[in-house]
Amino acid sequence: MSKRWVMVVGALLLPCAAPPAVMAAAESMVTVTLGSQSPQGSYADVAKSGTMAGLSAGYRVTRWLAAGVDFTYFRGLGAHDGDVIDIFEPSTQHVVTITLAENWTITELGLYTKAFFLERGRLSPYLRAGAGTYSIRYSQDVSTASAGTTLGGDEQANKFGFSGGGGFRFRIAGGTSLGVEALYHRIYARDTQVSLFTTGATIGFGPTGN
Amino acid sequence: MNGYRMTCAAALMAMALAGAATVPAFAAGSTAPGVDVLKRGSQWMSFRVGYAKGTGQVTPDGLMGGGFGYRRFVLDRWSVGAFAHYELLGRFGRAADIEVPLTVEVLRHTRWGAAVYPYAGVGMGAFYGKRYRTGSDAGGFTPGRYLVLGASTPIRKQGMLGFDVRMATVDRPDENPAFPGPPADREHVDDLLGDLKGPSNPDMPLLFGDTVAKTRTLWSFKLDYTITY
Repeated sequence: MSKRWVMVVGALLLPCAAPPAVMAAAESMVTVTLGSQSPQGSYADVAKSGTMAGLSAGYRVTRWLAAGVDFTYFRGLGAHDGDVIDIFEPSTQHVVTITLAENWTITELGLYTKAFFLERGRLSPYLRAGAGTYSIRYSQDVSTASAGTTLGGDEQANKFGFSGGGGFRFRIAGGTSLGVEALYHRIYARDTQVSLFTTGATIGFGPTGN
Repeated sequence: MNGYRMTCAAALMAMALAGAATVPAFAAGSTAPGVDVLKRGSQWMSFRVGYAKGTGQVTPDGLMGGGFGYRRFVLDRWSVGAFAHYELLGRFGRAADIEVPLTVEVLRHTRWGAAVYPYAGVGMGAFYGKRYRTGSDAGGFTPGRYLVLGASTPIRKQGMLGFDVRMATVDRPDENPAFPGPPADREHVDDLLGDLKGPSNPDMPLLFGDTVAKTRTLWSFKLDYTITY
């Protein structure tokens, strides 16, 4: 391990060596998460990796347990996005060469709980579990076409799902904190395993003095 | 007809608002539900009835719905609740469009002045949709999510009257003989998740002019009576 990595690890462990801070319950926090999403399982066959953004509002019910509501948006291109294909245009009965534009978007509204453990100083690791509704939307369009075409449209369906994972947050000043979070989302579609792995950076805002 | 019903719904809403804005004389001497009804540990049992409608380009006039539910304040001014509703969204002839939302919700409550308790929140749950006497009846559950807004005012000891407005988003049912909708034989999302796995051409599913809305919004405006304890 190089000296640089030793210093990085040491810096990360330093907050852990600090005496535990009084992490009072009754702490409210709004958290913004920005990161990436990676399709897993069969869903990876039809969608590419993409981005995610989330907003959650939670409340620390006890010193170790928080609960709240979150809204998350996932976006990724379809596996065939950018493919140049020949299609039979039904309105003109002609073959048209197109460049396909495909998108998968998922929005999630759910409830979650976080269990905090091994808190030291400003550092708060946690495990997180949640459940909610996921709205899956698939859209198809053309980015270029050799002739006029009616290709285009979208499909949408609501599904139930759950999420689980963990992360940590580091209090930087007052009620503001930075952190990292990784979650696995499982959505119950009819025949296909739709799952996502997300990683993101979080910034949390809460009343000063929490 | 639709305008008439909307007028009736608006009148009911106005009555509920007027009721919420004034403290009835017979409630003045009662033990005020006051701040205590928003305290952690408070419980509310609600019953409601009113107007319900589904949106869409061709939909029946809205009709009525009712429901009941339970809320518990897990924190001061924050409640978690579970509700069941039955909503007759409208009729074309004898054919009926029915929705039964079974939901959970999280609400933020506050207090305006002496005796108005507004609230707002979000919820989600399973919505059982049924199309009845259509010639091709269909039913099934779909997940849904909603926003909720309302207000209550005490009218008697441990009794509050108010209104509740909900806007829910659910999957739009496929077309059937009585009600329009997206074609039933199209590629649904569940089909696309499987059928898009192959190569691009020539067998991949393509959507030609597939712009019909696949979701719909359900509105409800209801008078609400709540027992607090």
